[in-house]
Amino acid sequence: MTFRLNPLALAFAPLLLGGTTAWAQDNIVRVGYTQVQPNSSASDATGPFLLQPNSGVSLTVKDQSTLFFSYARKLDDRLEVELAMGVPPTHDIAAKLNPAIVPGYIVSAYQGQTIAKIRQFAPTVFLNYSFGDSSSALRPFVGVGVNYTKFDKRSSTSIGNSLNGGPTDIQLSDSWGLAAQVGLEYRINDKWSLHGSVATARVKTTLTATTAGAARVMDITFHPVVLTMTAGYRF
Amino acid sequence: MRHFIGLAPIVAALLLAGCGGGGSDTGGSTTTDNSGGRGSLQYNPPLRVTGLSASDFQAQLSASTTGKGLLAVAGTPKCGVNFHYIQYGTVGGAGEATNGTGALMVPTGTDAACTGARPIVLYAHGTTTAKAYNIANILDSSNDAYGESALVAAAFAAQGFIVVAPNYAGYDASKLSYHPYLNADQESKDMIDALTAARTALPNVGGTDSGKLFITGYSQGGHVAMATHRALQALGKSVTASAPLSGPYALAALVDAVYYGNVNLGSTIFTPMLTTSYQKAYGNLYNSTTDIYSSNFATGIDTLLPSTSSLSTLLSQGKLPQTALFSSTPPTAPAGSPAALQATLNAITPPTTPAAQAPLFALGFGSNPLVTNNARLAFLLDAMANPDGAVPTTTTGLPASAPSNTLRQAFKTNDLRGWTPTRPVLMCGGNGDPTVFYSVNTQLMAKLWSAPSPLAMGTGLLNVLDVDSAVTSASDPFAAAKVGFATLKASTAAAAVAAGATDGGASAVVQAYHGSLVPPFCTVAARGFFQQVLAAGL
Repeated sequence: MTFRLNPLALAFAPLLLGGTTAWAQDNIVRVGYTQVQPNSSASDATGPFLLQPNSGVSLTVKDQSTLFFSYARKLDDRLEVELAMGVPPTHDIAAKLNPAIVPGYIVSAYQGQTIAKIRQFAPTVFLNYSFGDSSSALRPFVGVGVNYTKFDKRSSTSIGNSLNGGPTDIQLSDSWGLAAQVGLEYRINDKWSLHGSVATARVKTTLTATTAGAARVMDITFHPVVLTMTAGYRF
Repeated sequence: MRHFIGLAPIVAALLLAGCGGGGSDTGGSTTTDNSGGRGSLQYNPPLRVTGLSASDFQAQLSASTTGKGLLAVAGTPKCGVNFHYIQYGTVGGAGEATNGTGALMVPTGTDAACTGARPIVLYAHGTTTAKAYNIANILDSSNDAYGESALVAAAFAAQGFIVVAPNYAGYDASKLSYHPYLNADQESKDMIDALTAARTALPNVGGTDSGKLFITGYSQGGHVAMATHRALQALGKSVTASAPLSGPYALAALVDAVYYGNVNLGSTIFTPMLTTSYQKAYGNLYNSTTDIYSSNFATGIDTLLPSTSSLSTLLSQGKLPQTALFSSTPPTAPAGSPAALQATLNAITPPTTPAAQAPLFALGFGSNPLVTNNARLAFLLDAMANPDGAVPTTTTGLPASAPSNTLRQAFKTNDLRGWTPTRPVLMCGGNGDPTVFYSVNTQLMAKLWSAPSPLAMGTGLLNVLDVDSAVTSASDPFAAAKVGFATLKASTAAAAVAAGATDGGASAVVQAYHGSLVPPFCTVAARGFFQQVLAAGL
């Protein structure tokens, strides 16, 4: 995994390294369940044997759930830095064909079918700010941060190969973007807490599907909604 | 900080949890051959453009008037067709390594006519100025090749023939910057290389080659098909039969006729394509484009065609004259020539006989012509000194033995007279063709290949069809093509009259004759001929 140097990431570095150590119990590990709704919107594919300017050939990235975990470090009573991750989820990609453009026999064979699967690895660093008194059990929080998304594993299905016209190599560019979340933390005791959040991020990628030398390209923008429930342990 | 650092390995371990190897799984394997060697298939299996079932194909054709007409001529599809896009290594006009692309159409379905080992039709397309010509692109009806792609698919693939149809070097994704137009050596190599690549692909796309090979093509493709038959025969490779259609086989005779003033429709397109092709191959046609072309057109004409701009755009931009190949002012005979020469030059600028064709020939002359009078005169003086055996009068029927004009030498090099096919041949055309004259091509070849010519083919091997002729008898095997052609010709004229034409539709028929009226009937006649050869076990 090679992380490219990013100015936003650098901006967080002082926070990670220079936080106060005034609190005895200043580390939190959270583990739970997360559902990723990518809410993708993809451009029409362009490339060989696709109509111009609009090919009517596009795709949708389907929802997926996964195991969530994060590590957070308290900076003070209100601020924490959180590195959020998860077991990389593998999303189905479904064909989205415009019947006004794509011939009927192709639409009927492929519409909505799973043409590819992509696994995304999306670590996100948040700076979270908690409201309310530090002694209260229930504290809402907001966070802003930086998301890095890498699509580290891609596979074309046999249906995808049939639609594309042969064995298909799929590549997606990495994405860096801002992220934000809002949530609620319920403190059970000094050690344990429950935590629910809704997060989003700006994720943009370019997908290139190459079949027998023919590269078809589309831009995908995600407007993800990530719903997370975790249990946290403080130490 | 201690805690944070201590946790790092845990985080790393979690990150890796559940992560198998990354990367891309293509769901199959593609072999890539970038050697560029002749007949190499770059991607195997090649891209499947689309797969149409027989009923899908029928429905697609039924959706348009042209498609309905095609169905009526070609018949209801028996087979589905998988369209594949092949990319292969070949050579250019000077033997330089390059690449070409094309279509491999494979019949599918359960009909007995579509399963098992199938015969191959190697198809050569006609003249096009469209650089993006891609006969594999049945998905894009706006591609210039769509009509020919549908015709070939309906006539052959949907009736059980595997079709190999190269786009030729210089078109589509080929790296060659020009097209070796009517270069008999190159185009036969291009066809053979596409065939080799397609045969490599077949096992990976569900096709089985029966070993029967048919070669056909229309217009330029008629020339290509005949040249390819000749080349394969010379190589000792098996050809089952060929059907060259409306092609300029006796190229030197045809061009001599044009320079004698019998200017064909389309000559202002053919001339730059031919000249560029031969200049690239032989390098001795001109030192400067102004040696041949008028100054209004000479700049950039050597790289003009094929083009990404439409022909109408090129014409409207003044890059080419619409029809004026030659000046309407006769060339001036050189000083000291006999007076008869100037009289001859005057009489062919433009010719007024035969009266029926005089209006067509007159279109080839104007005040802003493509070719200079100097170039025309030099050509004509050589044509008079070293005449072709068929033009202006028939003697040997063969090309001039020793032309001295380099253009005429190039045409002779690519003239297909002088060989004899040993396998069945059907030549099809229409005798009123204003673009590729029937008499100096099909008729001339037929005469050379018939007794008592020394080049005569074996008994029963030569078949000639003039679709623009009357049905000979109740058993005329080509009755359907003749009747179909006559019907379409009449309806074309009638439509023109209905739209206000005052010439009885004659002009509309001339315009449509070579490009629209003849092709479907000759192509389907070729299929009938191939089926007949198969049935006879020849």
